[in-house]
Amino acid sequence: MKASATILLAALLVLAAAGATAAVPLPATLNLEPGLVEIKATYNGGRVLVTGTAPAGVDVVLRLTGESEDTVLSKKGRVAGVLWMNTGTVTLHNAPTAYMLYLPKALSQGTEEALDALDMGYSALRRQVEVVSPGNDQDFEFHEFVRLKKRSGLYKIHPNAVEYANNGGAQSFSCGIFAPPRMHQGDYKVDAVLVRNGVVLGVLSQTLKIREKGFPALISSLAFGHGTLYGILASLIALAAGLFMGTVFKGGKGAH
Amino acid sequence: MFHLYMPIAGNSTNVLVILAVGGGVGLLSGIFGVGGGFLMTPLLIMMGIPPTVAAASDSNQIVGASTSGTLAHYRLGNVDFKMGILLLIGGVAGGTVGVQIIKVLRASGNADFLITVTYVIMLGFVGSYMFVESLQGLRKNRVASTEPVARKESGYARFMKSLPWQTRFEKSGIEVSYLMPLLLGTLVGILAAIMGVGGGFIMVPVMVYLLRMPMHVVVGTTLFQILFTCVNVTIMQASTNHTVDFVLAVMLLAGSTIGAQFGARISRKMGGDQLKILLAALVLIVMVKMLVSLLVPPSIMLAFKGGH
Repeated sequence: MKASATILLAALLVLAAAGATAAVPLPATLNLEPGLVEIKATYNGGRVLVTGTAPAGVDVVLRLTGESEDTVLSKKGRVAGVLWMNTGTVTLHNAPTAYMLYLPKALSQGTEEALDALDMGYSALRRQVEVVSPGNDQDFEFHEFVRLKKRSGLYKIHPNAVEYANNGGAQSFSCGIFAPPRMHQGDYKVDAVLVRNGVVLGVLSQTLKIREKGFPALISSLAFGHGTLYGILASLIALAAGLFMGTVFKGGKGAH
Repeated sequence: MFHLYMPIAGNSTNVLVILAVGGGVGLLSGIFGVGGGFLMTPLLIMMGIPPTVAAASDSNQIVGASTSGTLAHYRLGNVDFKMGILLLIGGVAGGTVGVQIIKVLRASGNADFLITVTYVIMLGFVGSYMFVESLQGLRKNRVASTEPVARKESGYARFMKSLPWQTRFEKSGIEVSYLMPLLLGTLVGILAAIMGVGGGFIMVPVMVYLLRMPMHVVVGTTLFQILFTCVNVTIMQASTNHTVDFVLAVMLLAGSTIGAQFGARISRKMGGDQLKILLAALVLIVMVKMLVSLLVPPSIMLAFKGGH
């Protein structure tokens, strides 16, 4: 289940200060352990250790991105001047189900703008997501969407999360990632973004698979594949449980 | 530890917490003959379960709780099957009409506002009326008397007697026309469908004040009726929206079926007016909660869709 990739990046190392460019091979690796997280009956989130190597002096930012989906949300607004109610819908196209950044210490003090310059963070995400709603509040609505996602733990920026260790000429990095139980089964892209002097040198990618197994997989396949049968079975089991409990109580506590 | 994964809700939860929530709501269900969706659904949403899944799985567990409660009340002689079936037929017809009405209302724009305001006003009116009426009852007569037969011969009573097809409902000890439960059932069905609630809260006062049934029989009979309503909702939700989480429902069931048994026993020990005044307080609490949620600005201006 160990996923690994050793990619020799033929990225151009931009010597920004000199304004010159030079092709420098960039040896780097990215591993996920495990690469597959299984959701079983007692699942309460999964831990994944991300490790890899990068050239010395290069910072590594880890970015976890869920599959893109369309999300329809209710918008709250004032009605009759005093009552807060659902007043319409907001649709977000191409918003990832999860978005998490894991920053090294060197980049943890930076601002949202600094992350944006690296094409990461919520401002960068805003450019990718299309917000469809009446009115001109799309930026505000995206901001509220991010707050909603943050509250459910699916969007988060973790400072001081990536740690380095010297390993000969290269440096190795490591970071523990926790996949909360709300991260549904699916494929999640884990990128290691290599940064030096505020410039992205290259990106390594791996796929983290989250899959239901055993009882949860059985329930899901029944619920989505045979909805009516599932509903009838669920009702019958509930009925039987009610009858059973009624019988148990009759035997156990008759007098009153 | 003690966590179980709910595949349809897409989250995990602590088993002990869900058992406790189920037990508490089952207890209320057994005492008052209400489904408890008004309490359970918001609690589940607070625990991170999507609103649509919370509402649908709650319906599934109410099947179990109301079976358990109906059985307990049946043994105590509190279920009027004849009345329950008539109300149920009316309820199904009303529900079907209500779903169509809501479509028309939604298309017209301001539906949500009208529905919510009507709901709050109705809960406030019903709750206050029950509260005052049962308080007067308690003051007048310390011994619990549930038969409201000594009322004055009002226009309403004369109207009831003038209807054709009069029949006697033995368990309830009343004689009314077949038309009354059918019509009232339809009315409650329409309201319940429009407001997206189970209807226990509307049905209980209707049975007490408009059908003049004794409070204990009302509780048992409502539970019998809720059982069928929720079987219908569970199957519909599972087949069309895929929002019933069986793992969640089973955990809730384990708590609520036990709670309902104790609830039925507590209900039996209380007088009719005591039961009514407590239910009135519960109705008023729900009304205040709704009012607060309407008046206080939300912390986030967007919300996931669904729920009650």
